[in-house]
Parts: sequence; C-alpha cells; structure tokens
Amino acid sequence: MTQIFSIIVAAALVNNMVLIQSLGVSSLFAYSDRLRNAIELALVSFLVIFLASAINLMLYRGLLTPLGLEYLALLCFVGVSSILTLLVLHSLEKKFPLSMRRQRLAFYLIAGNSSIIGLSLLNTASARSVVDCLAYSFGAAMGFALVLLAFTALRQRLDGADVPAPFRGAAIQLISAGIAAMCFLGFAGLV
Amino acid sequence: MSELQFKSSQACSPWTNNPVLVQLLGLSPVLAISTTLVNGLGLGISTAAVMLLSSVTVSTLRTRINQRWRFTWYLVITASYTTVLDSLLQWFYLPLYQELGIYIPLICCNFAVLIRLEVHAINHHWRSALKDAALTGSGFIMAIVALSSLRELISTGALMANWQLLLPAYRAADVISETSSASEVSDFASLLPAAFILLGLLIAGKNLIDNQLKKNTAATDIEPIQRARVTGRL
Repeated sequence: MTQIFSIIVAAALVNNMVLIQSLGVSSLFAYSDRLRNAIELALVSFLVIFLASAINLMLYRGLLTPLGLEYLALLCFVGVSSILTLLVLHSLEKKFPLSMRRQRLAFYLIAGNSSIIGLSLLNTASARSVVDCLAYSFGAAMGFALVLLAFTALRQRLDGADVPAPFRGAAIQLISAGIAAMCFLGFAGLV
Repeated sequence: MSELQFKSSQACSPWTNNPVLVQLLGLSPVLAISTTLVNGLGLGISTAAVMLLSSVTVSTLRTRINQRWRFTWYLVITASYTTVLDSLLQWFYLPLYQELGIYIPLICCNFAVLIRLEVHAINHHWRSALKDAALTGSGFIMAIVALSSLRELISTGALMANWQLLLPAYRAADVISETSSASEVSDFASLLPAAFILLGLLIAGKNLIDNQLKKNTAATDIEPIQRARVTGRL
C-alpha cells in the first residue's frame, strides 16, 4: 500500500507530466484562462488521461505484445484516446450543454493531448507490474489536473498585473511557467 | 468564440501568426527537444513533413469524413504518417532517432498540426491546404531553430555540434562527443525551466520588434478609414 502511495506521489509531483517531462505543455496555454472553465477541463482531462492510459496498457500487454504487433501501438493508442474522449463528451453534452458549447474546440482537443499518448508510450517502455503502472497513470493524471488548475489561476492573476509592454500576454506566462518548473525540480528526492 | 479559436482562425503566416511564438501550439516537443540545433532541425523537419502530408490527405478526404468523428479521423491519419516516419527514421537515421526518443511518435498529437487540420484543411481544396501547411510548417521550423540555436549557444558556446547526425545511414553512434559545459550558469540553459524562460524572452523580443515596426508605419502613413455602405434592413 505504501509503495502504491509513493508511486502516485512520485508520478504527480517528482515526475510531473507537464513541468518536468514536458508532455502536454501546449494544453496549459491553449485552454481558457478562466478558472471556472479550467475546472471543467481539468476534471474531464483527468478522467480521460487515466482511463485511456489504463485501457492502452491492457491492450498493449494483453493483445499487441502476444501477437507481435508492437509497431501498431501508436495507431491503437490514438484510436482509443479519441473514441474515449468523444464518448465522454457525448455523455457530457446531454448533462451540461452550456459548458460544452462554450469551449467545444478545447474539449475536442483533449483527444489529441500529448500527455495521454506520452503516458501510454512511457507505460509500454517501463518494466513495472500492471498495478504499479495503473498507480503511475493515476498519479500522472492527477499531476496534470493540478498543474492545469494552478496555472490557470496564475494566468488570471497575471492578467491584472502591471507588466512591461513587450512581456504582456504569452511572454510573461512562459517565464512564470519556467519559474514554476524550477520549483517542481525541488521535489526531486521527495520519494 | 474563445481566444484559442480566434487566434487559430487568422490567416497563417510564419511571422505574424507563428504557430509556436504567437499561437503557443505544439510547445511540448519544442521545449523538450531544443537542447541542440541538430535535434531541433530534425524534429522541425519531421513535424513539417507530417503536417504537409496529413493536410493534403484530410482535404482530399473531406467529403467522406464524418462530421461527428472528425477528430478521430485526424488523429488516425496523423498517427499513420507518424508511424511510417518513425520506421523510416529508425532505418536511416538511428542515432538521431535515439536522440529524439519519445517525441517522434508524439508528432501525431501536436496541437499545431491538429488545429490546422480542423481550421483549414477540412473545408478547403488540397492546393490551399498544402500552402497553409507549408506556411505553418515553416513557421514551426523557424521557431524551433531560433530557440535551439539560442540554447546551444548559451550552454556550449558553439553551434551544430554532432552535425553528422543529419546525414543518412550514419550509424557510428560512438562518434558523438560528450559536450562539456563551461560553468554552472551556462549549464542551466540545457534544463527545461530555462527552455520556458528563454522562449518567453524570444516572444518578448518578437513583440518589441513588432511594436517598433508598428510605431514606424504609424508615423509615416495614416490609413484611410474604411466605410461600409449598408442598404436594406439589418
């Protein structure tokens, strides 16, 4: 139990997807900069990243490796993640049509989030057991949602800050993301 | 309309609407791979190739693509091309492939590629889609070359180390020399936080140039105000 807990913490903080491994960085900037919208996006992304990487892990270990079809892994992962995203979004559209309409493109882009594919590819390369891989995926998805929320809150603050003219907008956001990444380097050695 | 949709619906050009520096798309490979100029060039050219091929494919198949499942189509098309590219690179450029690692398969879910497919290729003729993809791809290559040459200059003080990696059938991986860094400060440029900060500084530099240009043109000529004549009921 303690081992699983330490894997989750390691995946969420020490090996954070976004700020340490640089997977899915563009989703931080592509999504909306309002915290309310970001909460919806973070919840959906967490669900899709965890479920898709779990299904991909089962498919790779159970179907592709025994048949010797490892080179089809990428196509398979992409198909699973996009179909899963669409299914989640269709059920969301019935329950919450308004939030769906507000940021349709951002929701669709979750399917192409490079953290899903990256996480699945990392899982195929690792020699961990299935339970450990699932724990790692859970932690990594949690870390992604955490960074997404924290960064959106930061962007909301930066909107009101008095920044020199050339740095306004994207530049100051990237620099503050760099400082946040430096802080996450400090988690090394936590577990 | 969200900010993302607004930015990506503008006409694509390598300078004014650069996919990386202005739209902030496809950042993860740019930040992770830009440690040396050779790696940056390799990844930029591969991404541009996938972008061109998949744009043409999507716009040729646009009448057959189901509106509801179009994102699945985009991803499957880009993933097929990426798988082919992955095998080709493994065959001809093995040392470069090992340097780029996981970011070659991740080309298939680069936002810069996917957004161009969604915004332009799906409802235009293939010639127009090809032109758009070429402009976006050249913008991507420009941005990654600028960032990676800046980082390599700061961290090692030289450019184009290990340039032999770009030659085909170059298989002697042991020739790659260990780059030695001069001090702790310059070593910082090869880490991920420095990539974020340097990219931020690049964007600030671009904004500065844009502001200067705008000031110069505003001083010389004032554009006449365009009036629209509207008849009938609105």
